[in-house]
Amino acid sequence: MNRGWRDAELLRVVRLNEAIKAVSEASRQVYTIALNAMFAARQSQVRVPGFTRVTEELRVFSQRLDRSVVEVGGSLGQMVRVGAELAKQARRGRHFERADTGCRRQGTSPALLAGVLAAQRARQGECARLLENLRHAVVEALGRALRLCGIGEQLAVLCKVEAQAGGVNAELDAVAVRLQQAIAEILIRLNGARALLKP
Amino acid sequence: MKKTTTLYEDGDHRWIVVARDPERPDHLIDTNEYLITSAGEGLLTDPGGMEIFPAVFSAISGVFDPEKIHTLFASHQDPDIISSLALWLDFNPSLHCYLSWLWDSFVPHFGGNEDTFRPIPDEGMAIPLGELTLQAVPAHYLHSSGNFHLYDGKARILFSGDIGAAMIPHEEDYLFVTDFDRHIRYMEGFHRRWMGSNEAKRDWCERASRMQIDMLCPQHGAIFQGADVERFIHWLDELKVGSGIRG
Repeated sequence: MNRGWRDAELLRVVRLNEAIKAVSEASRQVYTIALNAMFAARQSQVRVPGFTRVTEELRVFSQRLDRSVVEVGGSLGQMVRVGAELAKQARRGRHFERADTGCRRQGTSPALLAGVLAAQRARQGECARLLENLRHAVVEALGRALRLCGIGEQLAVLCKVEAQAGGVNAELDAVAVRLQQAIAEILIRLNGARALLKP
Repeated sequence: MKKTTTLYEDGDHRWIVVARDPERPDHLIDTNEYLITSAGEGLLTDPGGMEIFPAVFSAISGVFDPEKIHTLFASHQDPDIISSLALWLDFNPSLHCYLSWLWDSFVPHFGGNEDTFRPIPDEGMAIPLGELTLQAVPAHYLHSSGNFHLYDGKARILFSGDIGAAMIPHEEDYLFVTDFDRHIRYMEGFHRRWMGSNEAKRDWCERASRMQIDMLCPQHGAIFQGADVERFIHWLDELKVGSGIRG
């Protein structure tokens, strides 16, 4: 990290942010599907109280997941800002290192730029530490989101079971399948995001 | 690394040009920086872009203590003029930068804070340096809409920013104009295109012709001395500028 914020790392954060946006979108879809499922269940002739309860839980899941994703997005935003600062400091550091080489060729005292170079390195070190902390925070938040998704997966299975509890209802069954698919999509995106953070 | 050449010396009152970097990549326009010193203090004109900072800084360090450069003068806002500002401020956070008031909220995008800038009013102003008083001379619209030159009445030297600039090929990298007629080919296109106002140009030529100038020092190209200064002013006065309008 001390070598500077490379383009590849910025690209990685951009991709991570895209994955997180997709998770957020899929999470909103879960909420909408669950809400519509609840209305569909109320309108259906069959009594499915378990199904309705599970859809409520799924909406709560969606809201918790969304909060988690917002937290990740915030950390990613900070990573971009700190990374840009690190890149700026690294660029300035390179200019000063070149100036230092030139000054030494002129026979100027090495002390002339020693203070500036030390300050540059300290700022770069500080940015690198901040970046590492933020990366750690993102890994943790993604871990929490994935654990939450485990619950979401179970709720989706339960939804399918409850849809069939009051006899075969094709409409509720289809809704349960869509919920399973949406949560599976979220899991794929979150796992993809976590893979992007591996060094 | 750039070379330094002393243009004027009277005790510790000096004009030193920092020019001609053989290691400069071709895609960067060549620039001349001028270090003016008096009573142990230094002022640097148009310190240049970030990319050339190492070459400028190290060249200066060979002839003058960079810690004694307290003042920068930016003729206008272009990146080749002042984008190294942040680096100079990293080296000396208490530096002051004189530039047109027009740009004092634009140039801070390169660096600096409210204490850094000394805005120059349109009519120009006196700039103290050691035992000297330099004069910021208006040159608006030549080429920038907020543009100043810097005159040292004691040394009779005018730093003229982009006025007098020339694109001299590598193989003819002379620092002083010795053949004015031949030199025209390297500056004519630049002045026709970069300078946008014939009225502003006429105004500047009238002002410059009233000044006592032994050396006219542009930010690009070669330095005019002696009779070539007057020759240049007459040449510019005759030149039709603003060629881009017809483009």
